[in-house]
Amino acid sequence: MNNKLGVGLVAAVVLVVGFIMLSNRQVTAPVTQTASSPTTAISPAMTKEDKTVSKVTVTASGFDPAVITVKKGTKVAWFNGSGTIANVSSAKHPTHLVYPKLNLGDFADGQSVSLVFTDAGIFKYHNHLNPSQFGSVTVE
Amino acid sequence: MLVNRRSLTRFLREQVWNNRWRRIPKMQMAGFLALIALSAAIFSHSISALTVFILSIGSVLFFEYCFLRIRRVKPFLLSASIVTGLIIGLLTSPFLPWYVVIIAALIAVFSKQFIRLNKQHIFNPAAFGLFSAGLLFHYDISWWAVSFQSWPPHNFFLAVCILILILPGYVSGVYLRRYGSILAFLIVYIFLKYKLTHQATVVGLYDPTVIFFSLVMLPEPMTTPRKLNRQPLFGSVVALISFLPLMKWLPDPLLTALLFANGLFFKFR
Repeated sequence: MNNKLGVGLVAAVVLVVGFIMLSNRQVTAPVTQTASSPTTAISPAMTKEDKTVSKVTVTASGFDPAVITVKKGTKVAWFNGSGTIANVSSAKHPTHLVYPKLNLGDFADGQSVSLVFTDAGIFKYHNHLNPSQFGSVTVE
Repeated sequence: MLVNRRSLTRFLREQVWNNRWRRIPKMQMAGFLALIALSAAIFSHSISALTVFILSIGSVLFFEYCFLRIRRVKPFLLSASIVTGLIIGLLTSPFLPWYVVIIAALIAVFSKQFIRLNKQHIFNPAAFGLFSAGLLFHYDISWWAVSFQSWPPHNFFLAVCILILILPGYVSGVYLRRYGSILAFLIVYIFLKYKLTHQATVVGLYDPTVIFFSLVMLPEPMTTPRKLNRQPLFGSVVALISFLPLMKWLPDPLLTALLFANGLFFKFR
């Protein structure tokens, strides 16, 4: 009887918490998110000249630089020079829910993805296809 | 002599030549995990990947032997230890210092040997060791060896890697009959991910990390419900907890949820 009561209590807690989570959770779509098409790939040379864009290069060993600090409203562009498909996803792996705007998805070698950071804070991300590669963006 | 040649020969004949070890579920699981490890090492082209596995397996076996001697228990074929060591190696980044792997192995074996009640350990050893090491050294669990098997596979090798990834499902789902936990977890997890991320494509919802977790770590037989009527609740609880907002302060949402469920369901197996 105690076992049934315990199982019933756990089931009730699961249902209540699940209902609260689904009814209160708001996932905002990215304010500004651009994924470059193959014909408009952003090259490292172009982004160096643009002072409002901070560039992160994806290499075979990870993100370079892994940690950057930018001001609010700055556009950060990730350029894939790793030789294979890369991915930028928000912490934590694999749920990616800490900062959903950073879930920029897969992008091929030679392509780039970018995001304008409009919120202040420290935003960690990783390569979903190789989560040992990670970085962070500090927005002031 | 404690071990003579005759007893050793008989031991080897029974365990290896007669193929008995192949019928042990834990050894089958260890074999499948070794295949995953091999595929990951080949994909990463990294020698350090192989050293992580050697270090993790060796550490777990060493600490297991030591703790068994402390507890005055006769050492036996430690197939479960090999599984624990392989999981630690699959989830610990090869770029971390070597002592992190050893500490994770030490904590994992300690939890298995000493955090027990009624002769049963409470928590999944590999999950406990990895979670604790993540807290101690302030790093997130990398799942490096079970993340590259993306969909759709871009070449034949990746297609084979995906098949290798789901092989453990034979042991956990069919042989050990933990399909209740596995299916419930996957259904609830995919549903929550769809609701919270609005991704409805197979590419968006398929995740090799989640597949590995659901087929290998979630249905660990000693720490999860064996009764079929309790397995769906267990799997659902793990999936639900992994999406809680407080997970962003902890090393890993899946391992945290699993450990919490291990503790919650310990008396309801």
